[in-house]
Amino acid sequence: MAEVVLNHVIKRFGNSLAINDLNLSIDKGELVSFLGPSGCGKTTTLRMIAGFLEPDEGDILIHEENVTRIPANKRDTALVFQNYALFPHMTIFENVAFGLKMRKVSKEETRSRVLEALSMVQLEKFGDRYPRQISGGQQQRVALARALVVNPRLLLLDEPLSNLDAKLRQEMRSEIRQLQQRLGITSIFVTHDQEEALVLSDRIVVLEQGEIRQIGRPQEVYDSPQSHFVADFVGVRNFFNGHFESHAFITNNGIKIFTDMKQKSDFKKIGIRSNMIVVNPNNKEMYINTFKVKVELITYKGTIIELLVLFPTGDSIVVEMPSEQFKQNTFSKGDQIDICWRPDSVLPLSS
Amino acid sequence: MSQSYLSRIGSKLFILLIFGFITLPVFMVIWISFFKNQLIVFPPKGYSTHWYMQLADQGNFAMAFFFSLEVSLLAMIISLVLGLLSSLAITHYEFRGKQTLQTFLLSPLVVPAIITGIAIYIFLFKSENWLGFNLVPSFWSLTFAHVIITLPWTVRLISAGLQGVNRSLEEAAVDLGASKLQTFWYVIMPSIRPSLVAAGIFAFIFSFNNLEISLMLVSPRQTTLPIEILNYVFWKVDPFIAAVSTVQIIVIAGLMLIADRFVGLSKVF
Ligand SMILES: Nc1ncnc2c1ncn2[C@@H]1O[C@H](COP(=O)(O)OP(=O)(O)OP(=O)(O)O)[C@@H](O)[C@H]1O
Ligand SMILES: [Mg+2]
Repeated sequence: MAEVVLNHVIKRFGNSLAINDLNLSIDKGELVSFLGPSGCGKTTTLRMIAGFLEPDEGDILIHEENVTRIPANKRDTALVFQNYALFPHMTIFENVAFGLKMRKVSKEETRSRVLEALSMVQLEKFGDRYPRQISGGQQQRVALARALVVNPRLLLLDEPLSNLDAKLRQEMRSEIRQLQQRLGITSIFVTHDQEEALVLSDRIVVLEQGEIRQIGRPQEVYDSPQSHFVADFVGVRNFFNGHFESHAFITNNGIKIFTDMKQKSDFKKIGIRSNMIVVNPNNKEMYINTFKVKVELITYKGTIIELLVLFPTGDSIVVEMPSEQFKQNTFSKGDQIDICWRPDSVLPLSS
Repeated sequence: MSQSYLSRIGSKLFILLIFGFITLPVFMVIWISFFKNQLIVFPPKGYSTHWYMQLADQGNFAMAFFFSLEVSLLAMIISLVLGLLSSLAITHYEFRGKQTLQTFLLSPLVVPAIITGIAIYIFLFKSENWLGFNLVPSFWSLTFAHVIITLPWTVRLISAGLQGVNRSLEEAAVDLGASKLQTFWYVIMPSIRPSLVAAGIFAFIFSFNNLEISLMLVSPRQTTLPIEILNYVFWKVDPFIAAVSTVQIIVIAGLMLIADRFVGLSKVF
C-alpha cells in the first residue's frame, strides 16, 4: 500500500506554474529522491508534503489520510533543513528534545529517547554543547536525530548534504542510507547531485520545470534515460539529431550509427556516454560502430583523460579513456584515431 | 608608510575633536554642578557638593522625577507591546496596506516633535469638546502622546530583531509540532530578547527626555522632569539645575550602556 500519494498536484506562484500536475506514489520504507536542476520545484514539492505550502489543486495523502489542508504541525512528517535550522539558544539535547516537548512526552521518556537518538548518530557525548560548538557534519547529525526522535511516518530531507565537503558528504550519505534502512522509514531526499541520488535511492524522480520527466530505480535511470533532459542530467554528453532507418540511426550530417533497435522507430535523437566509447581497440570489428576522427583537445582529469574529437562532417563528441591506456597510446592533438562503440551503447531519446 | 601613519593619527585626532565637541556641553554641566557659588563665573570660586544635598529638599523636582518615571515606564510598556505586535504582523504576514502601516508607524520620526505635540494637543482639545470631559491635562493623555513618539523606536528595533531570526528556525519548530504561540515563545522570543531590551530602553529614554510633546499636556501639579527644569531655567541658571541635569544624564547614560551591551547601538541608527 502506498504510504505517500501525490494526486494531480498543481502549485502556482502568482502567474508562474511551479508544479504542474504531479502524480507520485511512494511505498512504505522506500527512499525516493527528487533530482533536478535549480528551480525545478524540488523544494516546493517537499514543502507541500511537509505542510508549509498548500497546493492550488490536487491532493496529498499520507498513510491513506488526506492531509492537503492539515497544517505542518499536525502532520506526521519531519523535515531536515538544508541549513539544519538548529535552535541556536538550545543545547544539542534540548534541540533533539524539542519535538517530544511539543508532544508532551514525560521527562524520563524524553531523556531516554533523546539519548537513544543521539547515540544513533554517535553524538551521545555532545548533549550539553550548543550548535555553534560543534562542526557542520555534527550539526547535520543533530538535525537528523531531532527529526527521527519523534518517530515520524515520513522523513523529508532538503539537500541535507550540500553544505558539507566532498569527503564528509560521502560518509553522511551512507550513514543516512543505513539509518533509513534500519528504521525502515519512508523518506524523500531532495538533491541536484546525480551521484548522490544514484547511490542513495530506491527510486529516483527526475524533475524539470515542475514536471516529472522520469521515475525509476537508479540503474534504470542511469542505463536508459528516456529523454535528452534526463540523459543530460545523468551525465550523457554526446547527442545526435537525426532519424532511424530500420535499426540504424542516420544523423542529420549523414553519419550512420548502428543500434540494437529491433523494429523501426521514430526517435529523433540518440545519446552516447563518453565512457562507452573505446579508442584504438585491437578488435575494431567487435564494436560494429567504428569511425576515424581527429583529436581536437586532450584534457587530463586524473584517472581519466578526456578527448574532444572531430568527425569529418564537423560533428564533435567527447570521449573518455582511462589514463593508463592513454599512456600506452602514442597520439597527440591533431592526430587521427579510431573510436568505436557497440550498438547497445546507443541510447534512443525523445526530445 | 609614514604617509599612512600620519593620516591615521590625523583621522584619530579628527574623531577625538568631534567627540569632544559633542560631549563638551555634558561635561560642562557636570563640572558646573560642583561649583560652590550660585552665580556661575569662570573660574569658579570653589567646589562643593551642596547643590546635590539640596536635591532632596526641592520637593517639586523629586515629584517631577517620579512623575516622569511613571509616565516613561508606562509608555515603554505600551509601546513595547504594540511594537511587538505590529512588528510580528509586518515581518510575518502579507496584507494590504502593509507599506502604509509601516510608513504610518515610523512617521513620528520624520515630523518635528513640536509639530506632533501641537497636533496631539489640538486633537485632544477637540475631542474634549466633543466628549464633554477633560482630557488635558491628564496622566493618560500624556502617556498616550509619549507612546506616539516611542512607538517608532520599538517598531524599528523589534522588526530589525525579527528580521534577524532565520525563518527556517520557526519552520523547524512548527514542523516538530509547535503551535504559533509555542513557536513564538520557544524560538522567536529567545532570539529577539536583546532587541526587546534595547527597544524598551530606547522607548524609556525618548519618553523620559521628551520636552516638546509634554509641554502642552502637563499641569502645574503634574509636571515631567524636563519641563520642571525648563521652568526653573526661565528664572535662574545656577549650579543647582546643573546638578539636576547631572542626575538625569547619569540615568540616561546608564541605560545607554545597558542597551549597548545587549545590541550594538550602531544597529539602531
Ligand atoms: N515563495 C515563492 N514565491 C514565488 N516563486 C517561488 C516561491 N518559491 C519558489 N518559487 C519559484 O518556484 C520555482 C521552484 O522553486 P523551488 O524552490 O521549488 O526550486 P528547487 O528545485 O528547490 O531549486 P534549488 O535546487 O535551487 O533549491 C522556482 O522557479 C522559484 O522561483
Ligand atoms: Mg530547493
